[in-house]
Amino acid sequence: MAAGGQLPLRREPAASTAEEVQEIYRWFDLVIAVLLVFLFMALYHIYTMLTVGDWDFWTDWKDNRWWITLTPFLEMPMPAAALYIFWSRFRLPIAGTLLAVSLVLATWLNRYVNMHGWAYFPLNFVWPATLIPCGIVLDCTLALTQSYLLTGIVGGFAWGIIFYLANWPLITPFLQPTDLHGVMASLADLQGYHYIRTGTPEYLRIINRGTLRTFGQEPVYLSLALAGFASVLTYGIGLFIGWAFTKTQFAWFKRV
Amino acid sequence: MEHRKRAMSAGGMIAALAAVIGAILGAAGSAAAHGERAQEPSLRMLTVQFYDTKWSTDKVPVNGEITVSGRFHVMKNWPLEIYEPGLAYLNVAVPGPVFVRVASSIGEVNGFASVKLELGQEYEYKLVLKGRLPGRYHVHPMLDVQDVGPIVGPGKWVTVEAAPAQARFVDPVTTLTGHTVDLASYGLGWVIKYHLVWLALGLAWLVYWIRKPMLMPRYEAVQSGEADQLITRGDRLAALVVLGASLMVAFGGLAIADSMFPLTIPLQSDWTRAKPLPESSAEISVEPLAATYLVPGRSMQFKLLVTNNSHEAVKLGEFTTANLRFINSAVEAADSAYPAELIAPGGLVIKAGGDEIAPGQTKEVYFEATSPIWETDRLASLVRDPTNRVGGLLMFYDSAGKRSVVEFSHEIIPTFTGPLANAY
Repeated sequence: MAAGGQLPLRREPAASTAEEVQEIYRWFDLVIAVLLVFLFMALYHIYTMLTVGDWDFWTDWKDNRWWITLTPFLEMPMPAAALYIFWSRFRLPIAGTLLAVSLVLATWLNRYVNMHGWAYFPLNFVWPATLIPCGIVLDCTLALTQSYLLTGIVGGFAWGIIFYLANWPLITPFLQPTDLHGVMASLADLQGYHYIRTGTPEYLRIINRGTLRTFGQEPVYLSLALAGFASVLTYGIGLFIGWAFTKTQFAWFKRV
Repeated sequence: MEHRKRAMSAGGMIAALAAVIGAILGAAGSAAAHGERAQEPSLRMLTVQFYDTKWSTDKVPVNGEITVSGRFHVMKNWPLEIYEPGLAYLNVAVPGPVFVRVASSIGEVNGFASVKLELGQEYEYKLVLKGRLPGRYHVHPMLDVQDVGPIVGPGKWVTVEAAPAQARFVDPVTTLTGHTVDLASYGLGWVIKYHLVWLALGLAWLVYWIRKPMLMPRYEAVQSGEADQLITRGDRLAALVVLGASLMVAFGGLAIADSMFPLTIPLQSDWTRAKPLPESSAEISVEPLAATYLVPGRSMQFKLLVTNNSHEAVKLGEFTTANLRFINSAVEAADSAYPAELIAPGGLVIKAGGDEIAPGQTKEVYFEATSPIWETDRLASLVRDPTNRVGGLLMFYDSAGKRSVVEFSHEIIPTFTGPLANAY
């Protein structure tokens, strides 16, 4: 340290050759990438808990109407906003996958440490859904079409559909029927019954309710259509948020 | 020098913060119960009254069973400021799934789903629990009531012992297709493997882009109008490959799951109505005339007009409210298995109106329920609550031991000077 407590000024540039500049860029990329993963893990996970909540927490909430409808379209705005920022500033079609991977890592961490380690629930009762296929579809559609509009219509709709296709195999083993002392219940229902939740009584479950029962055994196709259309809509909302962020960087928010 | 001072200051703050957090964590003890005393007294005394609660044992091994059974009365005079009960679910207040609920019933209906309850009716319930995690737990029956919240029944300490031979918890269930699975771990391997496949695909897509220069060069290119050159033919090909692989995994996974588990059912939600017990209180009617809480004496004092329409003389044997029991020792002996801390030592003392009500007689009865338990169970705090009513169940017995359970509730006025008897 120089006399007087002042730090010495560096006279030479940090990089003098093109290779050194590239190396600095690579380190910058890596540092930012790691920070972004942690940022998205925190933000997207909190957002998911506040919106999808119990549908993602428990197997006995993962039904073929509400879970497959609400989850994709509620989860869409944040990746769509990030998609706009990543694409408009860097031409990087990775936002959907990056957020989905961050979310999966965060939710597994939460389920293992919090719900299994602290609250004693078995992991096979509290596993999360995966949005990675949705993110991949969105990103790949953007890379192929290079159009926000087509990505919204095709990729957004596919986001809603593929959530069911990719996640239904996860819940299928838990939908086998059992006889619970004279009442038929699926294994997932039985998990909810066996593993006591003092704060989540059975009547709070929002499953298989609504007028889709008039469609007999096939409400899933209507749920999928609704999930697709709603995802297109929330894609637009997310895109607008991303656009607003890049245009104004939320200056009004900073003023507040 | 300035830098050093700042660094020392920051280090001191971090050390102080760590010390405070350490002190808080060090001082924290285990939670002893479930906040059942934190609920507002009017909610505990005027909505649902548990009674005849029994625990089959207070010690079970891991995988061993305990039965909690009893009755509860849904107050007819349900407070109007609290939503009337819609659906209700028979639950257990324990610290999470330390037990597993293997069976339950409420009013002869399977407790798997929620049920509709009727005001003024009594229901029998039963819970069969299986020990899962070793420890000592306070076990309460609990009724979750829609729009009202949990109403907690009496609690008893139960120990789950880790007998070496039975220490590993198992939860075997046989499906209707004939397969027996351990519900404690069933399907987890499949879920993890499937997640890993998708994680690998997602990471492959991210690594494809991260291995290239990402942020600064691309940002400069976009700013200089060369954005269209950043997505190459190779990038589009990669997108096509990853997209195709994703669709294959999605449809393939669905096909594999369907072939492995061809018979599945949707989640079940079969709400129904619970069957109440036959009414037993029609022969005895109670009209409350006055109620007060004597603050210096910790004594709840009641004046009632009791009419006995039965053919036998009856005696007032017990007053129970919010899981506390005030027993008239001249009529009824306390159940030794009931948690002692929930039985008021002073019991119920009849001060006027005689001990017996003859058939056809209408009589004013004045009794006191005196105990520090009003304070320790935080029921005396009702004097500071927005709803100042007291209620509970009165139990009358005839000479043959036949019991009549009658509910009552009344406004209560605290007194800081003398007992109600002074004005009698």
